[in-house]
Amino acid sequence: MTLRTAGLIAGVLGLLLLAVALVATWIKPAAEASPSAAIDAAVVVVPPEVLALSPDAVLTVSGSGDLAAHTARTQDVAAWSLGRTSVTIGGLASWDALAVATHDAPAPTASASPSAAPSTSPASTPAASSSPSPSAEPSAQPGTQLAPYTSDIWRDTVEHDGTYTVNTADVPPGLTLVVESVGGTDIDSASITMPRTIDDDWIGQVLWWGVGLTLVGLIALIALFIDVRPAQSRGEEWLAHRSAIGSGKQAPKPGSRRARREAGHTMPVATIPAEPTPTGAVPVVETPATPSEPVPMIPVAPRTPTTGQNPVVPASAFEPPQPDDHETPEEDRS
Amino acid sequence: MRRAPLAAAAVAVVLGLSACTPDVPQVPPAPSPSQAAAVVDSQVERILPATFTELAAADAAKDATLLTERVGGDAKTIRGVEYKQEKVDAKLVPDVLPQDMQAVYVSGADIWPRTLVGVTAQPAEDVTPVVMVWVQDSVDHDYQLRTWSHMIPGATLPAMAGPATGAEQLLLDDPDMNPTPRAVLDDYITLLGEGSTSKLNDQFAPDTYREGIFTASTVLTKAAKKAKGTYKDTFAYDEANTYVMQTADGGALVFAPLDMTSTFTVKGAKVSIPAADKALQTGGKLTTKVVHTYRDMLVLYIPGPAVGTNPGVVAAEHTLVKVSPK
Repeated sequence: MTLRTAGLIAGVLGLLLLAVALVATWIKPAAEASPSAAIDAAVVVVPPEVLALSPDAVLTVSGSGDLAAHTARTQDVAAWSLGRTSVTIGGLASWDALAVATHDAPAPTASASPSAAPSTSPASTPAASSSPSPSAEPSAQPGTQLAPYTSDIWRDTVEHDGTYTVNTADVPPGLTLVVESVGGTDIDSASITMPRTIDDDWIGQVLWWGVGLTLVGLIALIALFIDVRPAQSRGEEWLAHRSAIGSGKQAPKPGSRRARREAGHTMPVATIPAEPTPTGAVPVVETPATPSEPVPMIPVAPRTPTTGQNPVVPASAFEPPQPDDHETPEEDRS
Repeated sequence: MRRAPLAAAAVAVVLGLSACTPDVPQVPPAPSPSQAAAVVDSQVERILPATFTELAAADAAKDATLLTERVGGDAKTIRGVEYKQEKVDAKLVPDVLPQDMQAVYVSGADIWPRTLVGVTAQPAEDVTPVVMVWVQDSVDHDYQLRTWSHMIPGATLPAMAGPATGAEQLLLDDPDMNPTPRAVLDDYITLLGEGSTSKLNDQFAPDTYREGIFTASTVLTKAAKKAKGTYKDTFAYDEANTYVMQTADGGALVFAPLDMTSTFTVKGAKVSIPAADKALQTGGKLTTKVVHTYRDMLVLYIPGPAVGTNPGVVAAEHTLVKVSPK
């Protein structure tokens, strides 16, 4: 496989990666989700835990009429909504849909008087018991008109026309948000827009790899149409030249060790006595007073001491080098 | 074979995208509100002005029927009595109820009825601050001013829990209180009936309310004896409209409406009453007997176990609401 063929294959691979990255970028999920739900009720209840889903979430409630948004304690809203048809947002069913639960108002009973006068004012002599009941019972009786949307349980109330939008972080923590249609119409929909973390780092990496490999392929493709043989031959000559250096096929460089060897120069050789001294001491290598050449380390052939005692190496004696460290005498002699 | 790279790329895209989409976030635990009381400042700022607006309209017209939404119960009854007396005697002006509040005590209850108590500024130099009590009967009712009473001179209201938690509403028979609010209230009612010589007198802090009751009883008893008649008074608290709020020291404030009747009988003579009281007369002409019916309001402080003082009435109102021959 030539370099050009490899480049062309890399180019095809790069195009594939580029396509994958571009398609992934095109169809990857948005960094912001807006799960929504149809409401079809006059009251939407958003508990504090849902409001705490994301500090950057934005709640939008849309209706055809005027809307009033209240904040209140969760237990108060629970008691208030018992007598009303309401939809409670419980969280996210998916990134596209909100989980909602509908609470229907109690059905009117036969004993409920249809002629009951709508009144929100308590009697002048209330029969309220001082013994608090163990559970909050809805005071609104079926068939009677419920209290108007202004209620003392609301911490705060704001009114909007048609669409109510609020940053959930603006709602005091721990309070429930209630959005109520005050015009007699139902609320149409509710949605929570919130950011989400998309793990799309790989797309960028794939994209850059695709770009790089495509460029390589492009260069290889261009090379198909350009005669690169002269440059190639020059390159091959240079390569052959480089590979020939040191192979022995060329003359050695003047002054090099090889040149000296071929010229017949010999190194100074220390004279080693043929026989060990009678005392059995290690022979001392005598070096010239002012050697013109560096004294090579001469290997000393092991000898068997003549006496029964191993020779003691004096402190001044040097340790003979190993034969692998230097050129062998045979080489020097050659 | 040519489709294989494309299919592989498509699979890679799908897998990659499915991997980069985060899971749907789960709902975290609900955070706790910083102000857990049933009523906080923003609500007080609506409830109190609405009350005073309605009250001002009724005062201007001297018509208690205008008290509908925000004023009711004993407050409406007593205001109506004051309007009647003012029409007879212009000097008998209705009680001044200042809008400025020194303190507002809020409930932390999750159930109904709920109470809201305001302590006003001093209406005048010689008039003590007024303790006003609002009640919310249910979630669908507004807080309504039900009663008020002037503080006893020298009395001090205890500290109460603030809007962070609100004051706990207690039962009359709260098992954690010893003695229970009901027991203390029963003792005080007994004390009122027995008079200043009662053994229970030392169990309560001195208060001008019962001193006035005892003094009036003594005077009227003597007057009745002079006319060979009798004088008798009875006391009973209205349990249905009695509320108890816990104080910061572990004690309790009891807000108890009180019905008092005083029966004055003479022999061989005819009783007469002041002109202002005649405005409240019902049931026919007075002869030898007159019954005065009062609707009083007591605010009884039961100290916590570590305080070490006696219970006592810290605010009280004594209002004649009816005069009748029987």
